[in-house]
Amino acid sequence: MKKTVAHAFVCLFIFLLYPGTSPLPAQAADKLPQPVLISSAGQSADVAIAGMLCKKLSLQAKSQPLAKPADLQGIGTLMVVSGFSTKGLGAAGVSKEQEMERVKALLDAAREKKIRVITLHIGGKARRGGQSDDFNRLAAEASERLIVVRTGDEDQFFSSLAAGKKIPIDLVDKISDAMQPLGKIF
Amino acid sequence: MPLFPIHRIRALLLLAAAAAACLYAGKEFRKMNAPDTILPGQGVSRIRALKDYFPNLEGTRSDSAVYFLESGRPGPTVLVLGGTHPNEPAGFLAAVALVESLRVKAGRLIVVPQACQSGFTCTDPLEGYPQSYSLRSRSRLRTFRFGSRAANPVEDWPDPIIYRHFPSGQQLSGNETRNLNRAYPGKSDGTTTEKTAFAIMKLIRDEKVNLAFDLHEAAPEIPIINAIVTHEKGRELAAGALLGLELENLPYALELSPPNFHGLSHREWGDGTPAIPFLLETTNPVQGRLRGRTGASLAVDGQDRQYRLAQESGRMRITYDAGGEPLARRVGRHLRAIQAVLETYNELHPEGRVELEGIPSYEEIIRNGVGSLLQ
Amino acid sequence: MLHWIYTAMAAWIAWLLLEELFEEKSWRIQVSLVLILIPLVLRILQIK
Repeated sequence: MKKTVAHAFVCLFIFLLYPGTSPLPAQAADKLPQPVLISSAGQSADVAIAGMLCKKLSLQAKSQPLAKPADLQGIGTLMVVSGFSTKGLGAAGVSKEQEMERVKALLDAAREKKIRVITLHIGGKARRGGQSDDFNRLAAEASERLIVVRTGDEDQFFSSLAAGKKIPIDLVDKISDAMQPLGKIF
Repeated sequence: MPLFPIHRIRALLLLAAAAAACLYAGKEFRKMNAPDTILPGQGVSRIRALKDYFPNLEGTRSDSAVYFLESGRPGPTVLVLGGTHPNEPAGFLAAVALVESLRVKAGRLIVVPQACQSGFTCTDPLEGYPQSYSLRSRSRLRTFRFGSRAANPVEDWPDPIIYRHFPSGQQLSGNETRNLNRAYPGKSDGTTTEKTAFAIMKLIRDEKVNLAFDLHEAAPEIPIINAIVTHEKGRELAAGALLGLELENLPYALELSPPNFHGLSHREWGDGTPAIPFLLETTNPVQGRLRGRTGASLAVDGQDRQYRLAQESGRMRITYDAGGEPLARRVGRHLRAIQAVLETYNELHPEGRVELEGIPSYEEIIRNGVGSLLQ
Repeated sequence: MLHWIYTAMAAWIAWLLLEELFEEKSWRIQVSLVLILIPLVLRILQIK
């Protein structure tokens, strides 16, 4: 009897140690680290909305639409909010080319520093096509997860890109629905 | 030859007919100078005028009523401006609805329903706009003038070829001289429109306005529709409001005010006063280039065959619902968006809240029509 | 000054039209003359 009980404990111990079978440690490993740096790719005002989502989720996050590689110091996750806005570029006082260079440099620096990157696309159709898609593609390809409001993926731009690169994607109906996947990953 | 041959008698008769036509046309035209009736509700504590902030406007077409809705309880001061562009009736009517139906329980509200009063005295040439439109309110049939985008051209005739904004020197087309939303911060010795802008800036400063709304509409083909445009200062409030509105199935876009585009309310109020400005846009088929017959019913019901066809074809990027864009929906959106911004403000500033009462929900406004908001 | 020149021109054209109206025998042309006269009268009286 004692032997059986001891075997059972050993089995349970091994079972718990094995990462693939124990749900708790696996979930913790999936969580993205904080603090979060929210930056833009294309200078749309959607960064402010992402900031508000993080605030509602009580995430430790700061918004810097024009973040530079140096701003990644001490950051756990870089959240890129993609979408182009001429008004936004005007407000930031940068050209499209300068913005593209900045985003590239930021994503490169994040990769070097092994900072995890996710992309949020919450602007729907208005932040798709034309100039927006250069930024959408750049940000999405450098990310390990995409969260996209469905109206921005009516032509499967993000889903096919995610399928091709094997990036997990969460398609949500509304901007506020993005809180669910965000809550899960942080 | 007789003194009155038949062709001369005919000439006299025709002249009499012409005189009658002149009389009728003149009378109709003069109606545009008759002020719209706004019936202040229980919530209005006092009425002032723009001339009280800038006496130079006294006796001019640009002086306009300023309604105060004060709770007597501490809280922020909120300014709502309607009728910056008098051909955008939803902005004007949303402001009138506030004056006639709102009660303020904390903080205070200042409403200027006809910011560009002069623009209500004429319509835009060659646009075929209706002179007025009517709505059945809670008690009667109410008729309001449908004005022009800009102030009356007689104010400072003729327009210059190029409009130079004061003080930036920014150059725009000459007809923008009369556009109130290109005139801020205004000029005390400038054009009539610059003087109006000057008075509004002074009102914002003198009354220590914390949050300021400028209500607008735009043609369905304009990209910035169902949008909140704000200054950097209002980014967080607008984002919070947008999320709240989205939960109620009222999607909005958020746009930031470009710092280099001068004269706009969301730029100059934000830069020149402590107020946090918001400009709200809804869709107005009357302003669209694609529209067909432009009567009073288009202004009220917002149903246009051409826009419906364009929407169905899917070939144009327009904001137009297949069921039309009635005033109830547009006014309802404005009122909900204002409340959503204020709700976010309350969340962020629990110590100094603004509390409003008496505005029906968006669904109720859609169900009962925009007239249900008016006395 | 421009205003008075404009008004004088409108009045002069209106007078010519009136003269023509009483001399003209064709009713079609008379109707056309009256139609042109209406906006000029409104201008001269500074109504519209």
